[in-house]
Amino acid sequence: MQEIIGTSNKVLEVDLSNKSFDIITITDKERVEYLGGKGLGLKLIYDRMDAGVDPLGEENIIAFMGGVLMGTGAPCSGRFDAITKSPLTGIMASSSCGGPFGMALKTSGWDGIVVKGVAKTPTYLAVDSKGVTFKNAKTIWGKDTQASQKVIDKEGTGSVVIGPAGENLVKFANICSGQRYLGRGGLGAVMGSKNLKGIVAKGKEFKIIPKEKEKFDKYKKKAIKYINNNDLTSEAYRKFGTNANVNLANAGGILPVRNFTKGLHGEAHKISGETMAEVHDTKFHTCKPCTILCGHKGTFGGKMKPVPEYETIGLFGSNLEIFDTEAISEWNDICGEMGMDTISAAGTISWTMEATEKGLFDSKLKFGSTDGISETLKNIAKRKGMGDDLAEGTKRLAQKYGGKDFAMNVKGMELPAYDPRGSYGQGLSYAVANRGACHLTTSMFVLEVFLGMMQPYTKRGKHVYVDFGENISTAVNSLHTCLFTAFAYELEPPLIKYTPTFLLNIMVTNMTAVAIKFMDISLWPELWSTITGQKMNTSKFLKAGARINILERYMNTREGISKKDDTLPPRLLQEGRTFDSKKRTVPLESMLKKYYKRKGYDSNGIPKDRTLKKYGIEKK
Amino acid sequence: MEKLKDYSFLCQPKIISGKKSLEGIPLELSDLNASKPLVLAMNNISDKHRKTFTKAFGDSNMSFTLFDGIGQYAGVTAAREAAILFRERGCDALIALGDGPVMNIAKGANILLSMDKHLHKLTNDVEINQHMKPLVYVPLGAAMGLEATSKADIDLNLYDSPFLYPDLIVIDDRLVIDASVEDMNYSALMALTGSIESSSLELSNPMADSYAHASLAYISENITKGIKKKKKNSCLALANGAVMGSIAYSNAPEGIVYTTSKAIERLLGHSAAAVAGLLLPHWLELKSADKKPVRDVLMLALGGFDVYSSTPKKERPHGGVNLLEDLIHNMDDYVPLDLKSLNIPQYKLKEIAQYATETNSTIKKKDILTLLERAYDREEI
Amino acid sequence: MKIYEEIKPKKKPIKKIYVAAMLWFVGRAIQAAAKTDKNVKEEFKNLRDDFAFSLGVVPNGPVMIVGKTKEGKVKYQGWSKKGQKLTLEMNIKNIEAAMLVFTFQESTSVAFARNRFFVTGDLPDALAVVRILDLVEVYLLPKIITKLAVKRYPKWSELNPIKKYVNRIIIYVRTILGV
Repeated sequence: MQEIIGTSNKVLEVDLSNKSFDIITITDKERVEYLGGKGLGLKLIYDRMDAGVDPLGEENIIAFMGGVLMGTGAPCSGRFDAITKSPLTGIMASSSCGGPFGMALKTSGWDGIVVKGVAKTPTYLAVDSKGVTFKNAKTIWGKDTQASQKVIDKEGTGSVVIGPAGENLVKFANICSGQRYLGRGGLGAVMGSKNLKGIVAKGKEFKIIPKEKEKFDKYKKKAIKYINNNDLTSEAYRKFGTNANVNLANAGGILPVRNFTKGLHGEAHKISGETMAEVHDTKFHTCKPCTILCGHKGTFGGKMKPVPEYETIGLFGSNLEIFDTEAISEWNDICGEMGMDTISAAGTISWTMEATEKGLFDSKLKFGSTDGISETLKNIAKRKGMGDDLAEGTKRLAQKYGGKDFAMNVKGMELPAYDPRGSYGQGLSYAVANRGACHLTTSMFVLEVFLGMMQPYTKRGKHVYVDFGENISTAVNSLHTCLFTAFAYELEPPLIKYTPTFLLNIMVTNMTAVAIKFMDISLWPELWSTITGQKMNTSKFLKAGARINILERYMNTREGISKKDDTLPPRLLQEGRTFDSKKRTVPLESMLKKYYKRKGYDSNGIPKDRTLKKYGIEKK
Repeated sequence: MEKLKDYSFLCQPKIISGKKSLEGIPLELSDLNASKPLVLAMNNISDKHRKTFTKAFGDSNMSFTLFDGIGQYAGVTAAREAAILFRERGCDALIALGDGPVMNIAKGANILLSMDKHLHKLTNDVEINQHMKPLVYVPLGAAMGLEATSKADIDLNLYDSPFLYPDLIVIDDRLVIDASVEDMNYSALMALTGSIESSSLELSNPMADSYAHASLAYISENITKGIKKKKKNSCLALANGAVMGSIAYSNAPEGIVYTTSKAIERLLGHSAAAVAGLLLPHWLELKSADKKPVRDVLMLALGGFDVYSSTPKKERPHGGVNLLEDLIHNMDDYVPLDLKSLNIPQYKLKEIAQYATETNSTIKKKDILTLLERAYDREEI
Repeated sequence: MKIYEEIKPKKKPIKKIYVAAMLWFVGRAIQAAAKTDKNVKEEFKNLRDDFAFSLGVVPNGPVMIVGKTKEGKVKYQGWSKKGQKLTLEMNIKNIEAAMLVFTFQESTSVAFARNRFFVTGDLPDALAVVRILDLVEVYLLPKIITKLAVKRYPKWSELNPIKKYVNRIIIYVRTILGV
C-alpha cells in the first residue's frame, strides 16, 4: 500500500453535466486558514459558486470532505463532512457523518470530492486513486439506501447514497453512508436534483501517516486518556449512547414534549438510554475508529438494529407524546431506508398533529397515537398524498396553512430535541447558527443544563460562549473529528477538572470572556499540526474556526439572511412551558445585539467589511 | 368630476382624533353597553404609554385588564389566550392599544369569543356573520394597513367581514408621537399603497376616493415634519392618514402591490411596507406603459391644487407618479433600491409569484412576475 | 397562564376640586350676572319659566345647577342633581375635557365643536347657555384669557370698558356674597 505523509491536498472536482473531472490542489495557505473538512469544503464552494443559485438547480455544488485527521487513527476521526446550499433553508448547510465513505475516499488518495452540474440520467460515481468513473444507476434508482449500498459497495469500501426521499427531492432528504447519515439540511435532495444516486470509493489504496509521527502518537495517547477518564464520554455515552440525554433533559425541563408545549414528562424514563440498554440489550455499533463508542445497536422486534439516537427518540417520542421504543425504532428504520432526516421528519409530523388539532390541516395523526405515522413517513418519501405537502418542511407548511406559531424551525430547519426556554444560551445558538436550528454549532444545553456550568435562565455571558462555541465546533468539524471529543478535551485538563462545579458556574456565567481563556483546547490543533507538519496553535485554530464561521455567515447574507431571520419560533418567544409557573420565554433580543457586536456584524447581522478583512475573506 | 358608477361603501368606525381623545373612551364604551374592557398590548409596551392610557381612565369608574403578552407575530395561540382571559375576567369589550399584531389578535380573540364557544378553532373557513364584542382601536403610530379595516391577518390567514371593523378608533397625539422612525415610515408606505391601489382600480368609488385622497394629502404634507421633526400635529396627521388609507383599502379589492409585498414578507421575512414602497412606482409606470390610465387625482392629492392646476392635463398622470417617487425618495433609508439589493435570489421570483396568486386568485401570475422582474435590478431598467 | 393585572385607575381629586371650584364660581357668577348685565337678563328672559340647567362632568361630577325660580329670578341651585327638575343637561364627557375648558385651553364653543360635550335637552337652550357663559366669562376674566375662552370678544361699542369694569366688580362681589 502506498503512503500519504500528512494529507494528499488533492480534491476531485467532478462535472456531472460534462461527465468530466479535474483535480484541485490545496495550497498551504488554504490548508492553514480553512483546516480541512467543513472549512475547506465551504471555501472551495465559495470560490466556485455564485450567490443566488437554486439549491436544486444545476449550478449548486456539493462537496464531501474528509479532513486531515481521517485515516490517521486519531480518536474519533472517522467522520467526514458534506457541504452545499440547502433546499430546505436556501442557505449554506453542512452535515457530518461517521459512515465508511470518508475513510474510503481518504485512503483512495483524496481529501475530498466536489460535484457540480446535473447528470442526464441516474448516475453513480466510482472513485479510486486514478479518478472518477461515471456509472449508470438505473438499476438502483428507486431502491432504498441499504439496498443501493449493497449493490455499489461491491466496487469499494465505502459509499454515500440517497434513498427515494432524495430522488423525490424531499426537502429534508439525507445522505446515507453505511448506517450513518449526513442528516440535516436536505443534502439528499441536492444529490437527487443532480440525478446522482451515490458515490463509492475504492479505499485501502493508501496509508495515511502523520508527518510528525512520534509527537502525534503522544497527543493521541493523551486524547485517549482524556476520553477514557471523562464521565460523559467513558460512562454515560459509552454505556447508554446519546439517549443518556433523555433523563438529563427531562430533569432540566428541556425535553421536547407535545410539539414543545411542555418541557418534561412523567413517562420520559421509558425512552431513556438506561431503560433501552436494559430492554433492548444494547451493544456497541460505532463509527470507525471511535474511542467514545456512543453508537449502539439493540434487539427491536426480534431483530438487531441501530438504536435510534437521542434526537430521534426525543422528537419521535416525547415530542409526539409517544413512549414506545419499538415504534420509534420502526420509524427510525423507515427514515433510514428512505433517506430522510429524522429531526425534520419528526418535527414536521408534530406540526401536522397540532395543525390537525387546531383545524388548520386535515390528517388522521394525533398526539399520543402511533397510528398512521409509518405510512405518513413513506408517503413523504414518495411525495404521495399529503406526503407531498409534508415533504416541504414546517416552514413552507406554515406559509401555506398557517400555524407559524408552532412551526418549530429556524430559517426553515426544524428544531432539535432541546427546549431553549430552559436554556437561554441554546436559544441564542439556535437563532444564530448558520445552517438553521442546530444543536451542534454550540451545545449550550450541555453547559447550562447537563453539566451545570452556566446558569440557564440568565442572558449573562451567553453571547460570549456562543461565539466561542461556534468557533470551536466549526474548527473541529474542519479537522474533522467527532464533536463529542469536546467533552473530554475541554473538561479533562486539570484546571477545569478539579475546579468545583459551583465555582465554574459562577466564573463561566459572570466572567465568560475570562473563563474561556483558561480553557485548554490545545489537543485539537496539536493533533492537526503533527499530522500536516504545519504550525497550528490554539489561537490560530480558533481564528480559523471564526474565519470559516464568518465566511458561512457572509455567504448566507448574500442569500438574504439578516437579523429578521435570526429568530426563534413564536412559541419559544411568546409562550412558556406548561409546567413553568413563571412562563419563561427566550429573551433573545438583547443577547442578539451583544452577539452581533462580538462577532463583528452590523446591527442587521451582516458581517462588517473590516470583519471580513480581518479574516482575509474577499468579498464577492 | 368623473361619471358616477354604481358602488357600495362601508366605514363602520366612529373616529375620535386629537388632544385628550383617549379620555373619551370610557363614555364611548358606555354607549356601547360596555364597562369592563380587556386591553391588549405588545409585550414591550412602554411605561409611558401604559401610564398615559391608565391615567386616561382616571375618575371614569372603569377598570380594565391589561393583556400585554403579544409578540411580533399574530398567532392563534395569543388570540386564544386573550379570549380565555376575557371570559375569566368577565370583560365585555376589547381595546387594542397598538397596531399590527395587537389589532389582529384583538380581532382574532373577538372572532373566537363570538363564533366559537370552545375558543378552540380559528380557521379561515369560520363564518363571521354576527355582531361581535365592542372593539376599540388605539393606534400608536405604527399602523400596518389592516387595523381600521374589515380584515384581520391572523397566523397567515386573512379574515374578511364587515363585523371585523372596530367600533371606535381613538387617535391621541400623546401616543402616536413616540412611534419609531422606522415604524412611521413603514406605516406611511402601507397607507400610500392602500390609498393609491384602492383609488386606481377600475372598481374604485367616490367615497373610497375621498378617503384615499385625504390620506395621500396628509402623508405627503406631513411626512418630513412628522418623521424628522417629530411635531405632534404632523404625527397626528400621519396617523390619521394611515387610518384613512386603511378605510379606502377596505372598500376595494386587494391590489397587486399589496399582495406581492405581503407574499415577499411571508416567504422571505422582508418588511411588506418596504417592498411596497419599491413596487408601487414600478406598478404605476407599468400601468402607464400599458395605456391603462393612472388617474390624475394622484397629482392633486400629492401636489396640491396649485401644482395640479398649473400642469397640463396630459402630463398630470405622469406628474403624479413623479411626485410619488419624490415622496418615497424621502423614505430612502427604508425602501430598498431594488429586489436584488435585498439579496432575493432570482430563482425565488417564480415562487413568490406562485405564492401571491395562491393568496389572491384575482391577480395573474404573469402580471406579478412582470412587476417583480421590473423591480429586480435597477441597473437593468 | 401568566397573571395579567387588573388595573383600577386612580381618581383625580385635585382636578375635580379645581373644576368644582370653577363651576361653583361660574354658577354664582351667572346668578350675579343675571341681575347685573342686561344681555344676560335678556337671554334668561327668553328661556322658559321653569328653565334649569346643569353643567357638569360625567360620570362622577362635579356639577353645578342654575335655574329660574317661581318668581322668575335666576338662582345658583347647588351641585347635586338629586330632586332637581332639569330642562337641560350639559355634560362634559370627562374630567380632562373639563380641564381644557376651565383652564381656557379651549373655549366652550370650540369644546362643543370638538364633541367634548353631550347635551340632553333642546339645542337652542344649550346654545343660549353657551352665550350666557361667554358673557359671564368676559366679566370674570381679563381680556387676555377671555379671548381664549369665548367665541367672540365683544367690541368696544357693545361693551365699553367703564361698564365692563364696574359690572365686573359688582358681579364679583355678588358672586362671593351670593346675593
